[in-house]
Amino acid sequence: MMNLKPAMRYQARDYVVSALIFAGVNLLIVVAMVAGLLYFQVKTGTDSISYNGYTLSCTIFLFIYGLIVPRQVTRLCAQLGVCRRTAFLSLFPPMILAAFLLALLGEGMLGVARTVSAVHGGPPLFSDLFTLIYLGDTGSPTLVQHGLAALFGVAYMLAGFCLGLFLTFLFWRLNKVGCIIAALAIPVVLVGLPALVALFPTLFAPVIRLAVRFGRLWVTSPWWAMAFALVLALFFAGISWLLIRRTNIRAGSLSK
Amino acid sequence: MSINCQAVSKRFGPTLALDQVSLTLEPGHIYGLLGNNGAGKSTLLSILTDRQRPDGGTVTVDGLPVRNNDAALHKVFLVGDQNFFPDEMKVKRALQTVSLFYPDFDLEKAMDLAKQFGLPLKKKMPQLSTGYASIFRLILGLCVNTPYVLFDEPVLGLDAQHRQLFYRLLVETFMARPCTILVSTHLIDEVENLIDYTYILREGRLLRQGPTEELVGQAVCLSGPAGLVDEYTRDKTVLTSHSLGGLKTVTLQGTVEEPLPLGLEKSAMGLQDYFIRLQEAEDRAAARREEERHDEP
Repeated sequence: MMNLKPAMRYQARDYVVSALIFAGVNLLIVVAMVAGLLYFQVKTGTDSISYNGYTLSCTIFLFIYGLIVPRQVTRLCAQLGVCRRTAFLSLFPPMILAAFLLALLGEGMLGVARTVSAVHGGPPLFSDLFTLIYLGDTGSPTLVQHGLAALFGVAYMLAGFCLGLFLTFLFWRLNKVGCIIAALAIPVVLVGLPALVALFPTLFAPVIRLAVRFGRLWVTSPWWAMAFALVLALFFAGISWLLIRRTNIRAGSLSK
Repeated sequence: MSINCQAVSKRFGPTLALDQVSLTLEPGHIYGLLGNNGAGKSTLLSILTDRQRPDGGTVTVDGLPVRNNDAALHKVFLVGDQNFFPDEMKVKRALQTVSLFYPDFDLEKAMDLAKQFGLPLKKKMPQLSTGYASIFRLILGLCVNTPYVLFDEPVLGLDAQHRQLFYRLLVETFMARPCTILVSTHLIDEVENLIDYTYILREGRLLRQGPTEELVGQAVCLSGPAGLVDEYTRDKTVLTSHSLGGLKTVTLQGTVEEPLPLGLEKSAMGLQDYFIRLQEAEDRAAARREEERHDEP
């Protein structure tokens, strides 16, 4: 794996720049929220504006990165004498670095927003998924809670990235007919399975009980929720490796 | 110290793209890889660089298997006919990226060559014309300084002036830092004087291989009055034959004894002529086999 370092260095710059831009946009949203809050307070007396989508939007951001980056990196690495195993492994450290950066910036914004809310005396302006589920509106989180929230965010960003990775390699590996079948099958399964469970509740009672128990566990313990995200990430990353290890690495269809 | 490809096979659905191909690329040579469209040249080069996995056979670089092996792959640079760089990457950054992966990459020379070829450094990859995209890749191949450089259709879309410039630079690069170069091309006439060893692929099989001079010397063109030619070639292996009026030209396998009968003329054969005659002979043999297969009850 002598080429792991340059492969990671090449990606790290892009990831860090993108993460900073993304966090910057989120910061602008928060600033706009504060401005909006002040405006509505003056105009209507409303003081319940809050932004709760940070972790979710970061996860979607890295999911999209998972869709786009791996093919680019795999191609570039194939051109520049990096084997596909090294190329595959090189995808993760820069992504995890970006996830940590986003999570820490998010926690920073959360801390500032909570302090502003406390001073202001109103409800929280800014929350993330972890705060919403596990902390609620209980003032400012402690440093440990901030750390836990950052880890929680990183775990779900990693899972989102690995899902994107799996989808991009799946559709790279499949031929046209396979792509059509997969594109039809995925929504059919996602919509069909819950519908089936709803139609035959008695038949699927054990599954429902298991899902409820899992949901309770997820909501009550952030460690379980993180473990679940990591298992998902490992599962999708494992399948992605199986997909890419024998795929023909070819240029994009519009390349010349 | 060589690239060694042993009994490599690759199938795409019903098509056998490569059938038990074995070849060796040794240091200090410029090799030619020739073949018609669909012969399997690009597939072979992709397998040599682990972009595609063979169904059978092995590929090693200096004794190391290429499969999942950075140490082996780092010694080989493939200048393919397609862009593997990200679409949003500008030419200048692409050159800098290559120098990040290959410490021996001569960035200064690359910038100088870009100037010589008139390659726009600020353009993104998809904005380059087909010719300039080829030039970009050629510059990489000329500056990368790896022990093995493989060129797949290197002059695709290049005008005559730039083609000439590339061939000159290729020889200069080779003289300055001898390495192993393989050129896969359809423009055989243009590379004939460069390549010292030739591999010819046909329908996934290695049809002929050998030092270029020896290959070309394996056949000879003979022309003259049809009757005289037929008389002289009666007990010889005729690869191809063309008649025009009363004159006939044949390609004979092997050499001819001199002096020739009065009225017959011998001419040396170029690599392109040899390649074409060989393919024609193979076409006829294939047609004969097909006919025999149909005639069988």
